[in-house]
Amino acid sequence: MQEKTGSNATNPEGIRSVGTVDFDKAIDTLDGLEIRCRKLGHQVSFGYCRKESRSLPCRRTLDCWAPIFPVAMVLQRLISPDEWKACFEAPPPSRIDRIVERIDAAKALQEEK
Amino acid sequence: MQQVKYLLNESDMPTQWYNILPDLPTPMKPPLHPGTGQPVGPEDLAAIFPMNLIEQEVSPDSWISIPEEVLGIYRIWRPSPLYRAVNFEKWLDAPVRVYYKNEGVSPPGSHKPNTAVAQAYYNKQAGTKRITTETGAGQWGSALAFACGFFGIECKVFMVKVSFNQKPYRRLMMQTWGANCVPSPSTETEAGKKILAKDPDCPGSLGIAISEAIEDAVTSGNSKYSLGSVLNHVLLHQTIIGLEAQKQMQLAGEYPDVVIGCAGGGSNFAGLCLPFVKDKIEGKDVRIIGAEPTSCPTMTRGPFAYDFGDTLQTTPLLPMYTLGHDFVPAPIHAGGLRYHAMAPIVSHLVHEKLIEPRAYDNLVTFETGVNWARTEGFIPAPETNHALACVAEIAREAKEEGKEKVILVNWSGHGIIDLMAYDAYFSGKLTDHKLPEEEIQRALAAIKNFPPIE
Repeated sequence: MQEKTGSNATNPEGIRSVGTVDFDKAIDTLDGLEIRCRKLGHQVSFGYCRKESRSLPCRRTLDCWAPIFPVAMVLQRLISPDEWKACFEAPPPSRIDRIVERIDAAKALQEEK
Repeated sequence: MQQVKYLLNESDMPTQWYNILPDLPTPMKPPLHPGTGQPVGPEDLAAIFPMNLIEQEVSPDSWISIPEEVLGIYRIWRPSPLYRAVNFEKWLDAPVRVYYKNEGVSPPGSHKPNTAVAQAYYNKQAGTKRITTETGAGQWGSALAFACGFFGIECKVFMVKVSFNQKPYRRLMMQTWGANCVPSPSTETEAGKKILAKDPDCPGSLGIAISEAIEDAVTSGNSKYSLGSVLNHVLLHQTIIGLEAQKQMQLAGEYPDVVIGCAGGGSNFAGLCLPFVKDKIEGKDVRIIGAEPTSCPTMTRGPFAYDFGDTLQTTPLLPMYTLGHDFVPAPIHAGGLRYHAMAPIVSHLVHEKLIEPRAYDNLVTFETGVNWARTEGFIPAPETNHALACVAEIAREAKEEGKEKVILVNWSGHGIIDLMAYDAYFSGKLTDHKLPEEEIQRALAAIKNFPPIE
């Protein structure tokens, strides 16, 4: 992997093509790391965790990966502040909350039909 | 001769489950409907659960009779044996006597059918023809598939696609027991279709699978949904573990100083410990410990984020993470806290200091699990290894203190279908901090210089 050169702030194409650093390759390396997912009960890759929630990170990504590498730093470069807020700063619903929300959504769908 | 197994006759199997709700020193607050802010009532849940289970969810009775039909199926593997782990004790080399309740003897290989059988029975009584659920690795899905077969109930399992592809054996167990197991997202629900239209290669998630299972239950005739953890009635059905263990400890002439279980959603842990929590409330000197992973802990690091269940609104909505380069746990001072994804009863007992949480990292748990397998023979499920790591820690403490201790642990399931996790351990993939260090550092060095997305 090459070291970054130049200022990405001036690059009109965005950070993925800045300088000579292969950003995607760096992410690929991290994406290939594996951890045991306590939700699913088997090994999953970081690539899965950071897109688990409809292309956004699983809420537990920070907690699960923080002991392994500075995951917050990486995610800040992959998702926007609004997405960060939605993932990590919005209150996570309890299981009951989720169930009740989904019941209501399913009932609405049934009425539509 | 040192006795190793303490067995109950089938006629000695408990005939009632224990409901801790009426015995709690402080009452639990009801969950609130996220839309209305009002307590969730039976009518909110009636679309997916039969009324007899909803009644159990809020029952004021301390003891609830186990129907004979459920006992009849329990007898296939229950009463489960209590073992004295004499060989593991030698490995520990500490002044401890370790007893373990082997819940791995059930046909699906874990504690899960204790509630799956009960839920299938109550659904049958309520006229349910079909039950839907979601599953990850398949422990819960296989238990429900097993249970539904006994009552002639159709079972539909939405299995997270990444798990469906990675864990074929439990999927095949489900199919063998007659369940219809489909990868989620699927084309069988509107929720699944919508996601697949956007991303045909979506690997799925537990959240999507829950949406599909609930939608299917609500929109299909005579169908209900079933959940294998967290809810009060699930924990209720699991108490048969602890009630049997109490009788078996009497046979051994012992009472535990420490009761240990692994705590994921809380059901196996609660199943063993709730009858002992009752004893503790009534004055017994017993420590009760829930063991969880250090990566992604729910209990040891405090509430995961927020508490919307506090009716007094005394809990500030504090973000647990900052937008800085690392996360900062929020200080929590208010009562009635709920732990994300943990059973509310277990959260409540932690807050009441009736239960003590401890956390263990992956390597320690697998190291202990391997030593367990090499001394006691049975290969534990990876989750069970957390409880065994806790046993080893308590033993070390006993040695340091020079005090004898009697330890009771829930051996919640075997790991025969999770051997790939052991493979990851043996091949060094679980060596969290060492394995790809160089590669990680190189990647991070590059990424570090990029600004955050704005």
